[in-house]
Formats: sequence, C-alpha cells, structure tokens
Amino acid sequence: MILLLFANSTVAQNISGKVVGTDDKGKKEVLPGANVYWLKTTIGTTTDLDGLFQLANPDTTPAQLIVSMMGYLSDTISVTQPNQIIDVVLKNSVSLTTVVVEEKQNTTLNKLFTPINTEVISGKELLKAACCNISESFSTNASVDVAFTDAVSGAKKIQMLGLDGIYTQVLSENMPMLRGLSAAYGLNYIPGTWIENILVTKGTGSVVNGYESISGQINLEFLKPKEQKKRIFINLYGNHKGRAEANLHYAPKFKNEKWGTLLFAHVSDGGLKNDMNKDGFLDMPLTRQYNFFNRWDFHNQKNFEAQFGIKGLSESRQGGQTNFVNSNERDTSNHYGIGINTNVLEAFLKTGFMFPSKPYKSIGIQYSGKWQQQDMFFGLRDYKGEQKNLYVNFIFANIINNTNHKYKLGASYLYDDYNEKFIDSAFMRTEMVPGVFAEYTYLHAENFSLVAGVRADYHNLHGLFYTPRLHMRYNVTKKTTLRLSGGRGFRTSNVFVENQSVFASSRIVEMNEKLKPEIAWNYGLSANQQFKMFGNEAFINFDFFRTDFENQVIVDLDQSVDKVVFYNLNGQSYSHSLQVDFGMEPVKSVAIKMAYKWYDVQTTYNYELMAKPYVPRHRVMYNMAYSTYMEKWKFDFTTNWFGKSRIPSTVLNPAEYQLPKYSKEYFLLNAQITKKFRKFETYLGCENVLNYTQKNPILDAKNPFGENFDASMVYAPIEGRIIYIGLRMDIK
Amino acid sequence: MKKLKTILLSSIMMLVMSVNLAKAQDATTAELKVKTSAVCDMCKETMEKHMAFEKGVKKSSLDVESKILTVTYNPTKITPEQIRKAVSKSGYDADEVKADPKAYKKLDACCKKGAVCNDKK
Repeated sequence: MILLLFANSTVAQNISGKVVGTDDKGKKEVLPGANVYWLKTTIGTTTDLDGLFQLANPDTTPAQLIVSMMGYLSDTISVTQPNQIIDVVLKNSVSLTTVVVEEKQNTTLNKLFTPINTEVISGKELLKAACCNISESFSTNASVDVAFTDAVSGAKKIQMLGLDGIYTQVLSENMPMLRGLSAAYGLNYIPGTWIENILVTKGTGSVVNGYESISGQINLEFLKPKEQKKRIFINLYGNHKGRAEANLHYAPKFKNEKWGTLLFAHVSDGGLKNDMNKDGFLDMPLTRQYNFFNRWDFHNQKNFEAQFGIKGLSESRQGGQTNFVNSNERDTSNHYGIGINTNVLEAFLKTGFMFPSKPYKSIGIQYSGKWQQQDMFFGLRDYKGEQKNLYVNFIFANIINNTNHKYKLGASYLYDDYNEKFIDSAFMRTEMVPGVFAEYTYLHAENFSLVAGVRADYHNLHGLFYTPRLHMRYNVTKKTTLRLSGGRGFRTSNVFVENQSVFASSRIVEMNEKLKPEIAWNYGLSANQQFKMFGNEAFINFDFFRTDFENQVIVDLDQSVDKVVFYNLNGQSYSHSLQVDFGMEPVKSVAIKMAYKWYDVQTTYNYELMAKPYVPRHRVMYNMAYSTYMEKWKFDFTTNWFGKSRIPSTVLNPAEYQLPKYSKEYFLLNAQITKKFRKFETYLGCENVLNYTQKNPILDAKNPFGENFDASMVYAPIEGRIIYIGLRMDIK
Repeated sequence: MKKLKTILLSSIMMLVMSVNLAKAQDATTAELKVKTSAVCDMCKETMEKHMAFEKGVKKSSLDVESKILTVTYNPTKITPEQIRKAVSKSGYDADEVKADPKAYKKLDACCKKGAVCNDKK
C-alpha cells in the first residue's frame, strides 16, 4: 500500500487530504464518497466529488485515521500532528463478502459505524476459554448463552435472547452453515483454534444470507490462508478427567502469490469413564472426534477471486450406564446406553468478480454442498437421519450515483433432502426453495446509516414467504450510538435431532399434526455509550429485543411426565430480552466486563401461557482479565450467576421422583493463566472452580427402562471441577 | 452468599495483585538507549517482542523515526553488552554490534536495511 504523508503548517484546525484509488491496471482515480473517520470514534466524514475531505483535528496525537470504501482495502493512517495533510491511496479488492472494517485492539468491541449491531469476538477473546469448541467459547461473552441439554450426551447448546440456538443463524464466512441436522449441535463440531473471529449480531440479520435468522446471527470467520505468518501451528490440550485434544494448522507458502492454502486437523478424545455423582451413569460420554478442513484462496491480483474448501467430520459419543458395552448391548435392556454418531462432509466455492475501474460494482457467487448422517440410540430408541444439501447464492453489488447509496440484488436456491427414521416411523421430505432479494444501504458516515432489505422465497412444501428486514443507526453524539432493527424470519424444524436430549427419558413421543414452518418477527433497540473512566476507555451498552412467534414448533414437556408432545403454536409465544453491559479498565492492562441479562420467555403450552423451561429470568456475568508487559503473563477470571428457572411439571410422578417447580440459583467460576515464552505459550485453567453440580440429575437412575426414568431435566453442570493444561506453538 | 463472598474476595485480590505487579518496578531499574537499524513499524513490533523475552528486560520501546531503542532493564540480570547482543539476534544492528546474519536473513524484505517502508499501520 502506498501512502504519502506531508506535514504542512499553513492550514489551521483541520486534517485534510485526498483519497484516490488504484484500479486493476494500477491507474489512479479519485474516490468520491469514501469514509474517513477516527478510530474508535464516530467522528468522520466522506470525501466529496473530487475525493477531498476535511476533518477537525483529533483531541490527541498520534491518532488513527481510518479510510475505507467498498471495493477497496481499508487503510489505517497514523496522524502524528494536527493540521496534517494526508493523501491516501487505496488498493482495490474484490469483495466476496461484506467488507468489515475493524480494529483489533479490544478483544470484544461493538462497532459504532455499522448500521447492524454487530459484536466482534476476536481470536484473542476465544483463548480466554481455552477449551475447546465454539459452543464452549461463548462463556466469556454476554450475548450468547451456553445451555446444558441432558445428563448423558454431554452436548452443549447455545441460546440467544433466551431462545434456543436453532433460531440463531450460523454462517461460515457469510454462507449459511449449521442448518438442518446440524442446527442444534453443530457448534460442537468447530474447534476454537480454527477461528479468526466471530461476529455476533443480535436480532434479525441481513436478507443477503437467507431467511433463517430469527433471534440472531453468528458469523464465523475462519483463519485465512494468506494471512498466516507461521507455517505450522500446534495446539494441545488435556484435562484431569481424561479429555485430550490436538489441533494442527498447516499453511505452506507458494512461490506464486496468487494461491494460498490452509489445512486444519483436529482430534479429540474423552476416553475415561467418570461417575462422580455415583448414579451409575457416566458424567460425560466417551467421545472421539476427527475433524478436517482444507481451504484454498485464489486471487488473480486483478479482478477475480475464488475461495474453495472441503470439510470432513466424524464423531462418536457413547454415554449412559458405566457398565454398558456398546459392541453387543445396543438394542438390549441389559444396560442403558446412548450413542450418537455423526458424519459430515461439506464443500464450498465462492467466486468474486469486480468490474474494471468500478470497484464498487461486483458479482459474487456462493456454492455449497453438504452431506450429513446421524445415527443415534437412546436405550431402546433408535434414530437414523440423513441430509443432503445444495445451496447457491448470487449477489450483485452496485451503487446509486455515489457510495452513500449502495445496493445488493440477488437470487438463491436451496435444496434439502431429509431422510429420517425414528423407531419404526420413516420421515422423508425434500425442500426446494428458490428466492430473490434486494438490499439497500444508505451510509452517511457523520451520524446516520440504514440497511433495508426484503426477500421473497418460494418453498415447495410451504409456499411463498416474504422476509422484510430493517436496520438503522444514529449517532446522537460522537460517543453515543442508537440502533433499531426489525424483521421477519422463518425456518423448518427437525424435531428429532433438535430435541434429541428428550429421548434420554421414558417419555413417549407424540406428534398429532403436521408441523408447519416456524415464523417469527424480531424487534430490537440498543444504545451504546463510550466514555472515559480512570483515564481509560469505558463503555456501557443497553439493548432490548422482542421476538414474537407467528408459528412455532412447541416442545411440550408439561402436559404429562410420560410424554413429549410436538405441535404447532396455538396462542402466544414471545421472548423479551434485556441486557446491560459495562466495560472498563480500572488500571492499565486490567479489563473488566460485567453484564446483566433479563429474559422473559413465554410460550403457550396446551392453552396455557407459561415460562419456557430452563431459561433463568436473571443472569449476571463478570469477566476480569489482566496481562503483563507484552502479554508474557495473562490472567483471566469469569463468573456466571444463573437465577432460578422453571422445571417442567413432575407432579404426576411418585413423590420420590418429583422435582421442585424451580431450579436452584448457582454460580459458575472459570479461571485461566497463560504464560508466553519466546517460542510457545502454555496455559493452565480451571472450569467450574466451585465444583457446582446438579444433585441427582437423573430421575430414577436405577431403572433406566422404567416409566419414571428421565435424564433430560438438566439446568446445571453434571461434571464438576475440571483442571486443564495446554500448549500453543508456531513453527515458521 | 458464602460463594458470592469468595468471588468478590478473589476478584479484589486479583485487582490488588495486578496493581502491585504494575508498580513493582523501582530499585533495580536502569535505562539504555541503543541506536538500531530498524526501518518501520513492523520492525518495531519484531524487535520489541524479541526483547520482551530477554531475561532482565522489563520493557523496550523503539522510536522508528530516530531508530533508537529505549530499554528498561534490571542491571543485576543483564548487561548493556548482552542487550546489544540480543538486539543483534533479532536481526538488527545495535550501536557498533552488527546484526546477526542468520536473523537478518529471516527478516521480511521490508525490514531489511535501506528498504523503503510501506508503513502498514
């Protein structure tokens, strides 16, 4: 990147300059409508028709000035003195995905500029929870909750806005990823070290990514081949309960700079039998996972870019009674066993083409395909499921007159083939969904921006759906941001896989009607204020969201202790969520984050509006991090407090198998120390320091084939304190 | 409530500890200025990171403009001579000590002597 700096003392009070871009032939061209603003502030402007800009001097120098424009690589310029004149040359880029300007100074930051309220969780933040996969990484983040599912499978689920993770759309670099059979537990299949950063959007997402986001959107950015400075990365992890993990990344350098590749490999094994609560059941299942991902980048260094990759996963989990033998006791009632075997194969291709000398104009096409197979048994109940998926998304991006007005037009096609078998019943369906969308973005860097989108999709089984969505941002002052969002989303559910934990019980599955797609509206409001405290940056964040279901697939555990009933919503179902976040640095290199969350999630169960089970009304999170010079030592400490939540009614059980109406409140404490050496770093940590576990998580554990058995009524950890150590190493 | 107390206490302890650690640099502190052959911000990063893991070095800061590296160190643990040697090991000249040829070879092209820096951040 070429950058020229001139010091000039004759002009007063202003930083001024000119922004030009180079096209694919290296020809320079004036850039009107480029965004110019000070890092971490909302003070900014856009360039005029001649590419010129003027900005008030910063409060202090040196200050970081960010220059960005769609279709070009953003640049950060260090302004060392007031009244400087700055000429900036931006290099063009083919934009495959939405270009996100970001500065990696804080580990978590809410961007003040984007109209969509997005929180970035950097790779650094992910290291705070060293173990292991993405579903566990959210324990230091307030917007995404991690929930426990049942007492036997060991799988964890996420929740946003008090709603199950299935209502959150998970994207892999802006392509829908964890859908269908992997919607509920898919985050367990992504090792934390593979991730560069995670973008979390609360509330409705962009229409460009499809119709499925209802309560939120999580976009996972994997490590990029060409950005790896080191050739090899190794990560090892082990805990005192016998779980071991290894990750290996390999990024060879090519002579031909057009190409880049990155290979990820992961193996994990939880091979020791633990039964701390002496109920005869394993606290955590025996697991083994092999996971592989190879991605390639190609850039012709002019106007064409392509990315493609292939992913493979094979995982087995075996839980249940400690003396269950998988090889010959499946489908017998000798001992109660649980097995979940998953195999996934995925491939994707993204291509981006940019018009010569019109960097704001581009065409992007995304293709992906997936095959997933899931084979499960819970005692005598068997499930087999298979999903074949194809997805194509075509995006055309352009501007109207100048880059203050941008739009995207596109079309997508989704194909899903499901073939499921539960006990004796077979369920087959093929979904074909062609759709079109349009999204308009108005950007006025000073203080206002807006994204308005709409899409129409024709579902072969459920007909036409329209999905309107709107996001707005307004900066009241340079440090105060207000945001509004609203939109609709829909999804089809896969009840067996999404509610698999319920099968670890004696409950009979009842489904008396055809399940319709789930449709919901989501509205949100947020305010962000930045200020100085103890001479350091601090922030306070407030948000409120309402999700209103038009239809929902109800999982009714209250009707009877002997049944789980699935049916379409008949009445009201909504979620209210309120969150207050506060972050500050009391002393240099000490960062404190606090969050309070209030959830009011109500659903009509059998004509009665009741709180959704296992969702605590109040939650508190506290995170404190301290690092020494150059991060040679890092200390991290996280506390979560969970208020009481409703437990589905058990009054019909015999007295000894009844549970209280509400769960107990509890604390979870995690702590971690990292020591960096010249060539490697090691970490030592402890999860669940207080060793808190749910007492008797399994009802009638002695008779797993009896009518009172239930291992699905879980609101707290089953596994107690875990001490772990690990190592990270780069090799050049 | 007992648990809440434990949590509060431990977080206060951590805060006090970190404040103390931050202030723990007094008596055994000396400063040394070394003229180096660094060219850009990228060199600054490489060099400061390299120096941080040198025993006895508490802090180091390179002024890219003047190419002077200011090292805060504990003289009972490291000598100025050893500091210059450490800079040389990171691939740069340190006063009269020439850059270690092996380390110099490993530097990025833009960090080599006489390179015009593109100044990426």
